[in-house]
Amino acid sequence: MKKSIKDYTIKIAEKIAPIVSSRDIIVKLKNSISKLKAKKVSLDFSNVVFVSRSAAHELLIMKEELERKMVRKKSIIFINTNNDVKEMIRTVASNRAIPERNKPKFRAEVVNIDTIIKNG
Amino acid sequence: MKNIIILKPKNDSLVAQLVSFYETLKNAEPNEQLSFDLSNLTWACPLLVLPLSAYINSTNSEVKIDDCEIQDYFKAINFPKGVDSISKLKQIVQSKKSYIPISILKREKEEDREKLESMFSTIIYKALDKTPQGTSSAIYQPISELVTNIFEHSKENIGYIFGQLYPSKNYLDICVVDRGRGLQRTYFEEKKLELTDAESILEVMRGNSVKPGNERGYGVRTSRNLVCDGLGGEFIIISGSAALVSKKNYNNIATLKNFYWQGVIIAYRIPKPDKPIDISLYLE
Repeated sequence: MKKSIKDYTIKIAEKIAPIVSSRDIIVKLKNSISKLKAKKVSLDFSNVVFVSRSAAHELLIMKEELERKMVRKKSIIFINTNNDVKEMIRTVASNRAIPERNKPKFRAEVVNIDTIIKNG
Repeated sequence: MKNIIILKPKNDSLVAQLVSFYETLKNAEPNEQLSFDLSNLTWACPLLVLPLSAYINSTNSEVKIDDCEIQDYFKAINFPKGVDSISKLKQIVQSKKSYIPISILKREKEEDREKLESMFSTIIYKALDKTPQGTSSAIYQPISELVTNIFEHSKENIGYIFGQLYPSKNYLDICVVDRGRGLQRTYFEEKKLELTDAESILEVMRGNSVKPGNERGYGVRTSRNLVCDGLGGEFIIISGSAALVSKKNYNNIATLKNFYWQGVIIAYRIPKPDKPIDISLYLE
């Protein structure tokens, strides 16, 4: 992390990984950002090739929560995102704005194990 | 210790591997210490290899590979121990160019775990060589979602991932395994839902998340949709005594008699992509 009093930049590929997958890692990132004195924190996605849907969801929650805080409120900015990362964050953000109320149906035929063995 | 001879799968299909694995652990007590004999095997894919590795490691079972025709393969992928560090993964990939070792992800390693998973996914993607637009995201997304589920829901501290590209057969197999509390117990402990193993798998596929809010619960379903509907692959989930076998327009669920897997196994096979894919169509 690069330090300054007002601004802070975190290089995500170095701090986390070039592919950001897990929610728990983002929760940990949020906790470490919360402790910073900086008012503006830039998350630098240079060299990040992909962010999963779950991680993007958690990143957006983190951004909202840190920007809403009464104490040590922070502005979180995503910078240097490649097209895949940008698209993922936008897709998840639009689903957060207008969530799908009805989850799609899923139907499966109940079969006997012998049917599966026969198909094998 | 009971000796178990692992049956040679009937053919190369993913279902045949499932059947071979089912026959292997059928009639074993949950978590029973066993001695596995792999000498009959002439071919094995991740759906057979990875759950066996997880089982052996978690129960301190024994395995004999010296008389096996594919013992070099097992050695190359570091079966059954796997690797849990980036340096070891790099070292093996450099020396055994066609094989990626079994990777073991440990909760407490946090960022290092994420880096190991990231490297695994990158190696798998690069092995595909020359792919159409969107393929990298289509490869990374299901691995990411299925691995994050282990550390979100299983209450287990270790996850297993393994993959193998078969260039002559033109497909890629991936498997993700945990030895945690399984789906049925997760629904019971988190939502007080009393479901069978088969019903629990169906709830997962319907997006019934144990986490609050309606923005969760899409990880497994969207992975299945991306693999089967987007990439034309096959997708299998095993948890407890049930298995779902899924393809495009085809979902079969069965109870596995006299069998119990503590945790979750997810395996899928995708043909090497030959046309561009837009994963946002499958993310919901």
